[in-house]
Amino acid sequence: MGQKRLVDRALVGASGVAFLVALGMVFFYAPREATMGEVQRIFYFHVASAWVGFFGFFVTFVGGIGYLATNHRRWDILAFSSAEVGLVYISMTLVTGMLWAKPVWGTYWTWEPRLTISAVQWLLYVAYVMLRGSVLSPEREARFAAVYGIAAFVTVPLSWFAIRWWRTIHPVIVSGEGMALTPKMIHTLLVSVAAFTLVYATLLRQRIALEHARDRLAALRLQDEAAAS
Amino acid sequence: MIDVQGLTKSFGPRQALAGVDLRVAPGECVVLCGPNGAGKTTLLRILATLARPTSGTVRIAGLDPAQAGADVRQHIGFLSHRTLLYDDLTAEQNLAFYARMYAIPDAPARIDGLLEQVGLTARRHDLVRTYSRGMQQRLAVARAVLHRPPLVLLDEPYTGLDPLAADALTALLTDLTGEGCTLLLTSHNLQTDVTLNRRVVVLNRGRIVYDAPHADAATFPALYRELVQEAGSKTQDAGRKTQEAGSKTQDARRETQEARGKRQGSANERVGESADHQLRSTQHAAPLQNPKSKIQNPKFLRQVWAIVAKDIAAELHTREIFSAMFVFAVLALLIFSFALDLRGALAQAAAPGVLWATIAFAGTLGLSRSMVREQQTGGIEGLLLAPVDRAAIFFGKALGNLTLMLAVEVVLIPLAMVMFNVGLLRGGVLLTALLGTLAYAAVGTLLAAIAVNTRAREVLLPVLLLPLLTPLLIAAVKATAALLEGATWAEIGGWGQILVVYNLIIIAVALLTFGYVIEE
Amino acid sequence: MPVYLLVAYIIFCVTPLGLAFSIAARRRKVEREIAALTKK
Repeated sequence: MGQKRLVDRALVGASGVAFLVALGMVFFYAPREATMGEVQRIFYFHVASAWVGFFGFFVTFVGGIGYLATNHRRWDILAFSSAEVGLVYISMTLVTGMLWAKPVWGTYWTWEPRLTISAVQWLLYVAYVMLRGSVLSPEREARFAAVYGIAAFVTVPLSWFAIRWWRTIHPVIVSGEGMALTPKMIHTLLVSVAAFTLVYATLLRQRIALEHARDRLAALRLQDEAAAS
Repeated sequence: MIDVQGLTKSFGPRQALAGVDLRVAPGECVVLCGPNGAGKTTLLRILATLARPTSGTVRIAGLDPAQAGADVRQHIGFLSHRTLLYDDLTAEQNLAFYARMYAIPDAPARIDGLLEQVGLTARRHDLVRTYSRGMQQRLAVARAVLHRPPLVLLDEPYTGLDPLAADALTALLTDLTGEGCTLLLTSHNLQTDVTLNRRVVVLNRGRIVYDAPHADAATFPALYRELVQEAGSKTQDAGRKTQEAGSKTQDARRETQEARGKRQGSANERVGESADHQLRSTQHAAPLQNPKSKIQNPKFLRQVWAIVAKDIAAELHTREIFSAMFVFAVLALLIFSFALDLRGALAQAAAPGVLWATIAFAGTLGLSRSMVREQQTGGIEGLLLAPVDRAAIFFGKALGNLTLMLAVEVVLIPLAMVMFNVGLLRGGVLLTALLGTLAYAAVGTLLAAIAVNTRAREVLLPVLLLPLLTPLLIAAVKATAALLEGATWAEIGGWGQILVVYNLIIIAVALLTFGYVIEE
Repeated sequence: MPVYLLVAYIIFCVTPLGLAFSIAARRRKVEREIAALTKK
């Protein structure tokens, strides 16, 4: 138990430090971008948070496969916890994407491929979470969620291709392409991505611990009821 | 016939069965009693292969259900508390459908005989939804014993029956025992002759607390009450009392074994008979043993076709899904036309998108209803009980849904041609429609099977389904538009590929996961 | 223009912190109930 707590503390500390370092690099290390100006700095955390948003769903997919293969509750907890954390990140990606689009493209929303696929991803997460809240038996809930997580995940690459091609066949004027990245920008981006991944891992770990605690509580309640009746 | 050892079953933290040992000899008739929540139904469902045990071993006729699923199922008849009949089919159609699922060779004669036996010959061509509760229960019994199973499991068979119908059921059960069937039934009904002269097993809190070869009708109800209350008492000496009950059980078991020994002689002929049954049933089930060749297996294809034919027959009786989908589609066309002010060239340009959006929305209606129809009276459990591959159930349901959607499109596409002034009747467009609808039916069937088991089923299906359709809808709309502009199938390139790849991926995922969705 | 940048980074900082606090609060509630039950 003591070692577990140590790992927890270390993770929280490391992700906090990494986050602050990344934040510092975004504002003081990365250079000002020529065409877009200061607002381009949204880019670093925006990309990092989109990465976590998509990666979280991959973990949900892996958790789903693990659950169906082994029938172990810990895989299901992993899948569910990752979906909850991932949903928060993809929501953040969408909102900050819109905040970036407004000054650069003059509109909060445009059906640009990356925004569109993020929206689809967001809808997949929401559907997954809604499904989890709507199944009666806990065992079936886990299995349904696993199947849905897998089926949804395999369509994501196809969605990505379809949305890309859809836009390149009829090209749009506005696009984020053509932004020249200097080495300092790349460093900042990489540190941001690493920091966000670390924060994601910390949150995921805490969320998993919460679910385990809930299981313990449910087992205790059942014991209590059995003793009382 | 039944050999269960150390069986446990947990639902999350709740333990429904806490170590059950039970042996039932061939030809025996056992009554399983216990209060609500004692685990009777759970035990029966595990024996019927509908649920998997958490731990412990189960052998039915010497076979392990987990390994020899289809073979074991051929041996078992199960009467659930639901009828497992299709409301929208006639009695005869219901039995004929299950006869195909079990590959019964002399189906028409067997069905005639059974309908006569349960007194439903006169109403064989009426829809089951018009039957009284008693008639449905009798037909459900006929369904359960249709394939002459050597083991019949009955969950509360007397519930909801009037005294006359109950007598008829008792007579039928006596006949079955006479034929050498092994019977295991659950019952609350302690007073009547159900428990009389039969081996009685009492289950409480997931454990067997009593097992005696003959229950005395006069004293048993009092004993039962004592057993159930004893084990449930929360006083400190509960442990001691349970131990007492346990030693009683052991005594009872010893008794049982002695009695079994005595009966062995008279049971010999029955055993011979049931062995004959087993032999016959094993022969039926044999082709399924080789899973690799299942697609080419004629039995597999026959079962797929039987499921499709059953869905079409049910739809022909009611026509409710087709009419709802079609009217909804026409409404969608209308709404799109004024929402987007579609006239002239604009209408032509928008036609592919409008058409596919209409198909996507109307499709969710049909899928939802088709799965509800399957689930309503436990039909899907009926399918799970039959010795049929899970893949066959998936293909059957998906092809049934595909047929329905194509039927709607046959009317919808000409209508859209007239309304939007576009020439949709081209080979490429029709191929796109077929590929798009096939993928839609495949993923829709998988997700409808999930949604139908949720609290919010009608609203949840579109929420689950539509985000997954993104690549399919984009590709279908783009392909249709390009084809309408005069491109050939070869020229639309990537869109056609996405349609094909989407089909392959989604069908593969559905085949791999469908079993997890429909099994309990 | 930097207003958008400022709002975006406030969101970037507040959201993960909010999630962390929400998880911690739920955890504390569950732990309290566990403690109450084990005491009983």
